[in-house]
This record gives sequence, structure tokens and C-alpha cells, in this order.
Amino acid sequence: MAPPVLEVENLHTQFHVNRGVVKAVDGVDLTIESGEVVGIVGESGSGKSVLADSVVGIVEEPGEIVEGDVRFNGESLLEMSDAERQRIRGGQISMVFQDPMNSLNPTLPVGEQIAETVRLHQDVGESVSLPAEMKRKILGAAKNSEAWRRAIEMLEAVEIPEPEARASDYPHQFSGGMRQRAMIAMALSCEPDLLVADEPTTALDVTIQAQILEELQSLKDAFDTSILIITHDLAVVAETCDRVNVMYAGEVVEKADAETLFANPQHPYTQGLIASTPQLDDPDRELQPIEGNVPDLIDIPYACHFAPRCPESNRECFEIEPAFRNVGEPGDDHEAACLRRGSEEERL
Amino acid sequence: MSGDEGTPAQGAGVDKGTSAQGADVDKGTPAQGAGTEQPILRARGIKKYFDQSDGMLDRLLGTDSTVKAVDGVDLDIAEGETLAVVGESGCGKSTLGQTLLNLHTPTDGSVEFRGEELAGLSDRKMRPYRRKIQMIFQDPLASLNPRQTVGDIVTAPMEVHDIGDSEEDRLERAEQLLDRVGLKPAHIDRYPGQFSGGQQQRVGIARALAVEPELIVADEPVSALDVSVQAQILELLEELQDELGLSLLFITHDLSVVHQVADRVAVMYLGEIVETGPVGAMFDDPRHPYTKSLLSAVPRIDPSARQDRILLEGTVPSPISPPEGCRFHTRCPAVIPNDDWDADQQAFRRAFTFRNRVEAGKLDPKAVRARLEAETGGADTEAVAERLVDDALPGDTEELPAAAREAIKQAAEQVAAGDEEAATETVQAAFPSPCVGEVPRTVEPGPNRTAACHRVDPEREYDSLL
Repeated sequence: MAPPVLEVENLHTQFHVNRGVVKAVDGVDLTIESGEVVGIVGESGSGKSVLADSVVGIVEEPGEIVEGDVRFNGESLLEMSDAERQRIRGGQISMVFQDPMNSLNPTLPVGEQIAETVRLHQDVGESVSLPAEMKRKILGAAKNSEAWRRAIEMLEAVEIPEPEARASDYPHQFSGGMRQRAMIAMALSCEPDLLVADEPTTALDVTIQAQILEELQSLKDAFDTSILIITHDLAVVAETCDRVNVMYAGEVVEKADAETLFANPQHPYTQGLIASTPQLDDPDRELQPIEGNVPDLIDIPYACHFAPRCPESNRECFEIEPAFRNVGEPGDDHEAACLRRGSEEERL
Repeated sequence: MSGDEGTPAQGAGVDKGTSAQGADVDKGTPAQGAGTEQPILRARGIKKYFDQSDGMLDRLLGTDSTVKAVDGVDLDIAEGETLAVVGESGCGKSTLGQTLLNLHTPTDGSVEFRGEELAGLSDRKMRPYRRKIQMIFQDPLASLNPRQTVGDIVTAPMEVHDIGDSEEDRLERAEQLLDRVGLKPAHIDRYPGQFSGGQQQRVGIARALAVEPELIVADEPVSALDVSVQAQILELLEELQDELGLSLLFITHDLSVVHQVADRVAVMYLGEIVETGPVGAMFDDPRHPYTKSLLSAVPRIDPSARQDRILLEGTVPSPISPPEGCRFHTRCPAVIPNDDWDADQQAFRRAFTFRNRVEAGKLDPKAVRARLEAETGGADTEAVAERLVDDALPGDTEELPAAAREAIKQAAEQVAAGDEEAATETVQAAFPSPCVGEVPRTVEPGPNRTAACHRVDPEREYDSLL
């Protein structure tokens, strides 16, 4: 059997700052099978973006992966050389960020940026040497090159109207939704096995968000790409993902397939999160906020990280670190890390 | 506390025209009890245009670069009511809020607060009203002065409006306010940076409440907050409203939040209000196609609540030259075909999108020719035209009626030959729509409801569709 596209094992990513050590990702396990869409949902400070950065290998100083492993198609990304990792990143794993304006180069036409990715990662017989690059940057890309043609095809695939004309536009000439489409076009131009999308629709209006989510879905089907979606929006996860991981303060606290998780949430944090989310079709429901705030990840208590805000916590919760337990029907694959849920026998 | 930061200003964004003490606060107070029916705020024909022209040259050349951010809005807020203004970014909802508060001088129209005209009042004449109308902002940290303590921030508006007998008295009031909004009175000596986002928004609310306002304009007050904290703030606003009888204008892009907090909703699109109504009735049975698609686009947690999404074409057009007639016609799935159209609505929408793109000059025959030449070595006008249709017409040509196909082909050939004007005439003649020709009337499709759409107008007798 082929190994999963992505396996994250006991991952710890920490930031060493003056005040101490920020445990942004504190022991996370995660698998994504081929063609699967997996969601990480959590509030700000939950560590979900650092997890995404760790997977792609772009954690910046003073951050550092101190423990655990990230395996891509069975190969450890942490053990391979920088050159090897560079080859995989952008080619087989690519990433879409929340703010496309910050991740596109404002001084290059959108089409050229996509063509550049193609040239780097696919053998289209075009030199990526410095003089060749300089020539393209100064004289403009050859409009009849294979890479440019591929760029236009990709813009077409993400349904940018009049792709030939728009490929020569600069990012600022695109609307927010079109920039995000261009980012997705770039990310998919090398037909990656895994797309990591960090809050891909958060900066967009709801009608544009609907377009982009639809787009991701159909591209997934067309290219058979696995997708890891990081978001704070429960409804986006509920609508797009096969499986969901709920993160709180650096840890995954609950995981299940999307339908089960939202129909039958078990961890008190997941329950609180859903109870505090306004829902369009159920306005009479009283919102039940979670008391308090997301904890400072420096002084993170040993034991359950949610205990101080949890309505059900008792003394045990502040002393024992909860392990994952089966909390669903047998065969449900529904796990939660809470001492008040499931039984000790169900411990995994 | 710091002590050296005694002067007000900065932090209190609404209190623009501070300084001069001793203005007659009572002067502008409207007579009480002037009929209970009178809304607390009534706006009629509010317009706010921003001039974007770059000086002389633009004016000489007559380049029209006026951004019509708000373009003729009528609005009533009843006593004790929460009215939500909802719309996508760039629809003008924030400008509307600021114009109602006279933070922008309206280009045209009138704003009455309890029957007294606010539009165009000088800062000085506006002061008594500033006390009665307060504002809460989206980004709590950006709207709080980082160098002032919470005590300074909350007492500053009191000082400006002569509330409280002494500094001690004001500080005591501030402590009570902090307690009321869920902070500890001991927080009074802290700085905004020492709080979390939710707590900062509580400080912003305490500052707004400090002058005992009657109307609060809240511009995306919970959009920057995490969902668990957002619920806390929404709950607080609701409690305060019940307790103090506040009226609330709630500006947001989030329809789920609207449903939770508002009594009535106004949906804005490109500077205009397209539909208003009581929140329950309107969300259950939206009438305007824009409201319908907006509601259908909201992702749902509950699978049983999910609807078929009505996907809109493209993005919001520029407010510099908004589309003629109904402004939504470039994206509207229900755009009305002429009587002689003999295919379905979807087909018309696709043909009409082609028309919109030709009109907007979006087709680029040069780029297409370059690509074709690269691919096949040569390209005649016909091949270019064919590719232009492929690019600019959503879906398949085959599904359109023969006459429509012919017109599209002709227009594409005209574009390919460089004659955009002729192409525009071709598509306009082939795909006419009342949505372009006439501005829809605002009609009342139900009790307390308004909508501006030809399809809703009973006199026009179109199907409501969708």
C-alpha cells in the first residue's frame, strides 16, 4: 500500500523568544491520504498556521522544529537536504496563503510568476540560469514559450476570464478574488500531490469565497490533489473537508470526519466553539461564549490546555495530560483528548 | 496612572472637534416626546462622492473619476432598534456609517437625528449630537491610543462633554463602566496593548458608553475577533442595549452575525440599498436576487441547512462608473431577457455576460493573436474571433439559440478586426434587457419591506425567479 501523502508525527515547533519558549505546536499527529481534504480549525493562537508552515518547511527564526517528523510520500522532509526539500516544495507540495497580495511579486506580471514556477519545477526545456532569468525579467517573458503557455492554461483552469490578456497584468490590476485564483493557479501549475491552504478565503467576501471554495473542490477532482485547509471558520471546514482536526493552544484536541464532528462534537472546546458561532439558519439559538481568552503559549500549563476555560474541568484536568480516546461509535475514528469524555479503556 | 497624559483627543475618534470647552451642551438637545413614531435617525437621499481626479489635467480632459461611495440612501432607525447594514467590501457601508455621523460631509441628502438636521453642521454645532451618537470600530487597538491608560481613554469623552464634576468623579464613573463591560475596575491604569483583542473591544465600548449615547454606530465591531470572543461581545452589546435602551446601527459583512443581533436589515450593493426588511422575514424569503445569492453563499455547519449556492459572476464593478440601470445587472443571475428570448435564463445570463465583457472592453484580440501565432504559427481574424468567444463566453456556444450565436460571432469578429464600437452595438442590440435601461423602483413586497428590483415590482409582471 502506498504511504499516506502526508504524515505528521508528534510534531513540536517552538519559538525561542526573550520571555521564554513559545510552544506553538506541541505534539501534533496528522495524516492525509491521497485525494483527501483535511481541515485544521482553531482560533488565533492555536498554532494552526505554524503547523502549516512546519509541514511546508518555512518556519522562520526564532522558530524551530524541535521534535517529531514530517513525512511526505513516506520520505522524511526533515532529514532530507535543503536542495531535495527545495525540489519538493513548490513542485510536489505547494501553498496558498491568506493574503495573496503579500505573496505575489508586485513587480512581475502574474503570468510570468506562474511561468517561473513551471520552469523551476517542470522540465519545459527553458533555462533557469541567472542570465536567462534576467533577460526574461527585463525584456519580458517570451509569449510563445512553453512555460508561458502553461501559465495561461492554469489561469484558464481557475476560471480567470480572458486569460491571455490577464496573464500580462500585474497583481495590483487583479481583484482580491482573482489574486487568490492566481495564487491557486500558481500552486497547482506543477500538479502537486499536496496543497496547503492557510486561510485561503478569509480575506475574501462571501460571494467570492463561495467561488474559490467551489474552485478548490473542482481542481481537487481534476488534479487529484490532497488538500490541507487551515482556517478559523467552522462552516468552511464543514463544507469542504473530509476530515477535521480541532486545534487549541498548540494541540489537536479532537478529530473525526467532518460530518461526525459537527453532528456530534465531543471535546468541550469543540462544543464551545460551535455554540459560540452564529448560525444563519438558527437565529433564535442563544450564543454561548467560551469564558476567558486563548492562553499565552509561553506559560502553557502541563495537563489539559483548555482546563482553565472549560466549564467541565475539575482538579484532575489541571494535573493530568489527557491522551486521545475513542469517543464515537465503534469504527467512527472519532477521537478526543479530554479526561471527561470516553473512558480510560478507550485510551489510544 | 501615568498622569502626564491628561489631554483628551486622539483616542476618541468620534470626538473630532474637541478643545473649546463650555459649548452649550443643551442647546441642541431635541425636544423629548415629539411623537413616539419618529425614528431616532432618518436619512433621505444620502450621497457621498469622493473626488479622485488628479487636479487640473483630469478636469480639463473631463475624466470622470468621482467615486460614488454612497449614492442615494434612505434609512430609518427606530428607537431601541438594531438596524444592520450588510454588504460586501467596497459597497459603501462604512462610508454610509461615517456620513450619517457627519464624519464625512454628505455630498447630498439629509440626516435627521430626532427631527434635527445634522448634514453639513459645523464641528462646533455637531458637538451636542456627538454625545448622543457614538461609534465603535472594527480594529479596537487601532482606535485606542496606545499611550493612554484605559482611565484616560474612557474619561476623555466625559471631559470633552462636561460630564462629571471632577477628575475623581470621572474616574469613578470609568471604573463603573469597566465593570459594566466585563473588565476589572483595577484595569483602569493599564494600557491598551496589555489587553487581548476582546478586552480592547470592551474598552472601546466603555468609551462609547461614557457619554451616555442614545445611538451607537458599530462598524464591524466583532470582525477582528475570534469566534468565542465574538460571542462574548455580541452578548454584551445585547445586554447593554436592553438595559440602556440604545439604538444600534450595526455595519457588517457577516450575515450570520446579522441574523443573531439585528431587528432589521438593509442590504447594500455598490452604494445603494437594494433590500430592507425585518431580519427573520427577509432571511426566510429574500426577494432581491443579490440578497438571495448572498445568503446562499454563506457556508453552513449544518449540512441540512445548506442550499444550492447561487454563484455570482465576477466581482463588484467600480464605483467610479457603476453600471447603468440596475447596478447589479453585470452579475445578476436573474437579469431579465427581452420578451423574444427563446432559451432559458441561464443561457441568457451567459450571453449577457459576454455582452458585459465586450462593453467593458475586456476582450484583448492582440493577446489572443499572439498566443495563437505561438501555437499554430498563424492566426486569421476568424480564428482569433473564435478564441475570443471561447474565452469570454462562459459555457458552451452550442446551448445558445442560433440568433444569439450569430450575434456573438459577429461581435467577436468585430473585436478581432479592431472595431470595438461596432461590437458593442452588436451585443447591445442582440441582448437587450430592461435591467440596463431602467433603474428599478423601490417597492414594498411585504409589510415593512422594500426591494429595488424589476422582478419584484408588481407593475412589471416578471417572474420572481430563483
